[in-house]
Amino acid sequence: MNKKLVCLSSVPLLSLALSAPMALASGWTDRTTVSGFYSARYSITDEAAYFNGNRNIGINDDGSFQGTKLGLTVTTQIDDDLSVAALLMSAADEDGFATHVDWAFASFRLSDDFTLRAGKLKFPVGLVNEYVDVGVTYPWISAPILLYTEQAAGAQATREAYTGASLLWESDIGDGDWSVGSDLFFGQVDLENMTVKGVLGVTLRTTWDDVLELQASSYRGTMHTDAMMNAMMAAMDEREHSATLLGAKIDWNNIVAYVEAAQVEMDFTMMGRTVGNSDSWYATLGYRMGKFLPHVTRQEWERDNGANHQISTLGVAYSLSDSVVIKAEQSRIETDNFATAGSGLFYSTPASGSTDMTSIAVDVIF
Amino acid sequence: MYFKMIKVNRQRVTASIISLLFLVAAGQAFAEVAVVANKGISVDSVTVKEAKKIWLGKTKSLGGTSVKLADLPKGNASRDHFYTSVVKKSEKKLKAYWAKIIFAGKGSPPKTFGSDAEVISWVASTPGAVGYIESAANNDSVKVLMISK
Repeated sequence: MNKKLVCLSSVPLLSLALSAPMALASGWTDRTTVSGFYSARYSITDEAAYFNGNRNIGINDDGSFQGTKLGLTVTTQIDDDLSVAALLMSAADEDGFATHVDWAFASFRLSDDFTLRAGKLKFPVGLVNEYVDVGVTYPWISAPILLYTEQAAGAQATREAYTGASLLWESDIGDGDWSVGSDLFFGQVDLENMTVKGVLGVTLRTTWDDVLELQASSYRGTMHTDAMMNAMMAAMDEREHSATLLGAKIDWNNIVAYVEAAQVEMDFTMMGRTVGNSDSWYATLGYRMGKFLPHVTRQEWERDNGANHQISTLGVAYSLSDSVVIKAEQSRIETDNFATAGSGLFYSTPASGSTDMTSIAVDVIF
Repeated sequence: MYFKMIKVNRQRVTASIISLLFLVAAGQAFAEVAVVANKGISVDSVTVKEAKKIWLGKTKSLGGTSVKLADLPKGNASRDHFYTSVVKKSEKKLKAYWAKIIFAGKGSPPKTFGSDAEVISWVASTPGAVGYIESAANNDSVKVLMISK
């Protein structure tokens, strides 16, 4: 009580001194927050054929800075219920180091549990897809590519973003450690030579504190190819694309584990065979030892036509601080049937069915 | 006899000073943290679990008023106490938790202020604002929803 009385005498003076600048800053700048992330990555393989991209950005024995990026999010609270947010990202990609709006949308809070969002939104499919560019949030250098790529030659289980609307439900059970939620979304996905229209999907998720996260997603849409794509893949035009994903993440004591699987169906055939349907999955197991998190990952992907990859990765993430993580990984990429079923994520036919890749990265959030 | 008494008294005084220093040190280490709110919020108390949900952005309104959160900076003793005893998250886990929300565009973390006085000033003048401070720093401009010892 006495302590309170002693401090009371000094607080009003401080309050008065501070209230003037606070009042001046009560405009939109006071309601806007800016956050950022940065990743520097370098990968090299022992194979001349480019992996995961063309000669501008793909990874081969000359090395690549693919995955190097800088992102800034800006969120402004317009009033108690309405906010707008955007992520601007500059990334090393096939066009050089181009800047684009990764997502930009408005959120309107309908109630404590329901939020309506509209604009360009991150595709809410896949355990880590909504923050897939923010390396600090997961142990790998990149999210497992056999499930997370949207390249035409890959799984296409999830997408970077969609333009449309989302009804988000987030609630909790009991004392608040169990959270449950869903994201009902509708819109279209714009790709380089194709637009997937009428995309309708739902993601259901539940988390228990930071320990357990379960997620299930399903969506469908109709593929519309442009003239260039039609010249090669006319069979895809106006056919259905759908996918179902299941995922789980555990972070218990020092154990970190991820497991996720995706089944993709593309309703078209070439020479009497379905070539777009594929199954992919990955599993990761890591054990935290102080600032080090060593981990192993196995990924597999196979299309109906036999195209496939298997990737085994041994990696370590070292937390330099709460905001900076240094990572190193060694992967072996195996490919069967590439002579007959295509080279998958290799841009051209690789010399052998086994490619080794070494990657290092620094991930920062600020 | 006189000198002996003085010697005894010196010993007692020394012991008393040492005890006092320990008490002060203990008081510093176990300072109470008060969760304070703008007086416009109709709720008069929250539990530890409720406070945890508020500071993790899960509870978005209190008594029908949208909440706005205040934080103290990293390294502040009250912040350490609050996040250890109430929210029960390490700084590293907290950073990762908010990164997933911020970079998915689903929310903003609490606004950070430099001192208890700044938190009190902002909470007192901002409808729906809640913060935590060392309870000894509290004054009548805000109301206390919870004390964490």
